[in-house]
Amino acid sequence: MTAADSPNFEWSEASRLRLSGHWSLQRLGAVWPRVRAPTGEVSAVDGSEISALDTAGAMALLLLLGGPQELPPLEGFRPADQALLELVQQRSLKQRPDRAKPDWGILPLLERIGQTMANALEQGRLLLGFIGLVLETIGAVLIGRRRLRLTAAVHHMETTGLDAVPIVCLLSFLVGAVVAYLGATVLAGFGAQVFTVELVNFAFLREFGVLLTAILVAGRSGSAFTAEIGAMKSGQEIDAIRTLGMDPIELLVLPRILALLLMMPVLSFLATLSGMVGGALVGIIELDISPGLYLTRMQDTTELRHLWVGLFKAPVFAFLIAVVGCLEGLKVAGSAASVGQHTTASVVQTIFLVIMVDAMFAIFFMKIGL
Amino acid sequence: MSEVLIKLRGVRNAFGTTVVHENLDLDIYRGEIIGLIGGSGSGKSVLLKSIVGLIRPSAGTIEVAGHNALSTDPAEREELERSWGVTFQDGALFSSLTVLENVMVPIIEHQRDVPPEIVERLARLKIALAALPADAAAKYPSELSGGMRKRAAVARALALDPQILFFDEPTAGLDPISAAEFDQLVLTLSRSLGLTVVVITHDLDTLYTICDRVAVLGNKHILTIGPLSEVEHNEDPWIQSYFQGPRGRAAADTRAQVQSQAATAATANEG
Repeated sequence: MTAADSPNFEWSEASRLRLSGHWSLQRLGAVWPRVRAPTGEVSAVDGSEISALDTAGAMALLLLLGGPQELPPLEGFRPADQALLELVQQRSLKQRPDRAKPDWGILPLLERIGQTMANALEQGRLLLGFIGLVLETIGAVLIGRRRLRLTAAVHHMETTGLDAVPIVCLLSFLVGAVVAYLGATVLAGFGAQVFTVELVNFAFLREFGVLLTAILVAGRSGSAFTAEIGAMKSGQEIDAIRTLGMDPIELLVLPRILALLLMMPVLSFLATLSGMVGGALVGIIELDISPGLYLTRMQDTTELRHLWVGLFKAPVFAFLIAVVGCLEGLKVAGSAASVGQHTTASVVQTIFLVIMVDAMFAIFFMKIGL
Repeated sequence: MSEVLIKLRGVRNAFGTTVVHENLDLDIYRGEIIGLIGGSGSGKSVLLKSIVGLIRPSAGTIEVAGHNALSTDPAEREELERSWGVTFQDGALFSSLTVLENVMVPIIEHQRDVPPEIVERLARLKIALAALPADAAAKYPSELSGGMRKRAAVARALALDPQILFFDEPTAGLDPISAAEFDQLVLTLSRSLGLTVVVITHDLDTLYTICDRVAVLGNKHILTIGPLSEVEHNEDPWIQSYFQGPRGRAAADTRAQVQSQAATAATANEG
C-alpha cells in the first residue's frame, strides 16, 4: 500500500471534484471521516487518476456528491468503473435507512409477563393432552387394538438402562461418600458420629437414590428422546409415518415410555446400593467405624419400608421424563435450531417436574407416617 | 480473459482410502463465469472447499490471485479470504441475526476503520445489489423464502467487495422463475462488478444461460473444460448422457430458441 495508491479527493475551482488513488473498501479508512455532502452544485467529477474502484468506493463517491438523483458529468472514468458507479447509484436510491427501535417501557414488560404465563398454561394443557393420548394408546395396546413394539422397547431399555448403569452407579457412589463425610463432620460435634449410618442409608433409600437417577436419566435419556424424535420430526419422518398409516405414538413414544418404566426402578435400586456402599466405605475407612458396627447399626435402624418409599417413585419419574421428552420432540417445528431449543426445554422441564413431584411425595409420605 | 486468477496443480484429496481427486489441474480466468458439473460424489463440493481452505488437499498447489491458497500465514489468509465470497446451498445465514446484521458482520470484523453509519449504508447497498427489497433488511433468515435467503447470502458474500464469488448449487430448491431470476442476478453482478464466478450446479438452464465455460469433474480429475458448445460434444459417455438426455436437450433447445428469436428481433429492428 503506497502513498500514491491511497484514495484522495479535492474540490478544485468551479466545484469540480478530482479523485485519485485506490478507491476500495480496504483503503478508504482515512477518507470516510472527511466524506460529507457538497454545499453547492457539482459541475463535474474527474476520475482519470482513479486506479481502482469497488462498490464501497462508489458509495463514498456518491456520498461526496450528496446522493444525487442524477450523476453530474463524469470525466476520465474507465468504462467499467463508470458502469459500476451507475449501478451503485441506481441501487442506492432504493435504500431506506429505517430500523425498528426496540420498544422499552412498562407495557412490553407486562406483555412479556402475560405471554410467559399464557405459554406456561398452554404447555401444561399440551402435556395433559399428550398424557391422555398416551394412556389411550396404552389402553388400545392392552385390548389388542394396537401392537406393542417389543424390539424397539428392548433397544431403548439397553440405551437408557444398561448403558446408564456405570455413570449412575459412579455418581451415586461419590454422592454417598460426600454425604457420609458431611454427616460425620456435623454429627461429630454432638459425639453422634455413628448416626452417619442412618443419615446415609435413609437419604439414599428414600430420596437420593431415585432422585439422582431421575436427574441423570432426564439429562441423558429424556434429552435423547427429544433429540431423536425432534430430528425425525424436522426430517418429516413423523409425517411419513402418519401417511403410511402408522401411529407415531405407538411406534416411537410407547416403546420409550415402557423402556424407562422398566429401567428406572432397576437403575434407582443400583444407585441406592452404590450410594450406601460409598457412605459405608467412608464410614469404615475414614471415620473409624468398624465394619461390624456399621452393618449391625444398619440392620438395627434401617427398615425395608424406606426402600419401598424410594422405589415407588421411580416409575412415576420415569413416566414424567419419557412423556415430556417425547412430547418436546414432537413439538419440534422446522429447522435444526428448533431441535436444540426443545431439547433444552425438555431437560429443564423434566428436572423441574421431577424435583417438584419428589417434594410432594416427601410431604405425602411423612403425613401418612411411612 | 487471459489472466489466470485461480490455479490448481496436481491437487489430491482423499478421505481415508477413498481418493476423491488425483492430480487435478484447473485454471480459472479473471472475469469469467465457470460452471462446475459432475456426477454425485464426484467431489465438486470438496473441490470448492479445498479452494477456499475448508479442506486441506493432501498434495498439490492452489493459487488464488497470486497468493498461495494453502498458506497458513495469517496476513496472507486475510488477503485470501477477502478476495472471495462463498454462497452455500441454503444460504448459511446466521440465524440469530437479521439480514442487515448478517451483511454487516464481515465488514465490522474485517474493516474496523469504517464508521458505523457507513457500515450500515454499505450493507444496505449490498442488499440492494443482491436485488432484495429494502424491507428484507430487518427480517430474520427464517422469515425469508428460499430464494430470498440465497440473495441475502449473496449480499453477505459481497460485503467485502471480493473478486471471486463461489456458489454451491445456487438454484437447487428454487422454483423455475426464482431460479431464472437468480441466474440473471449472478450474470448482472459478474458483469457489472467484474466478478469471477465459480458455480457448482446441476441446473442445465444455469449452465446454458450464464456460464462462459464449463468444467466437468469425473474420474478424480477434470474430464474436460471449455465453452459449453465444445463440452457438450465431448465423447465421454457420462458427458454424452448428461447433455443428450431429455433434460439436457430441452435446455439446449430453449437456449437455441431464445437466441434465434433474439436474432430475428435484431434483424427486424434493423429493417
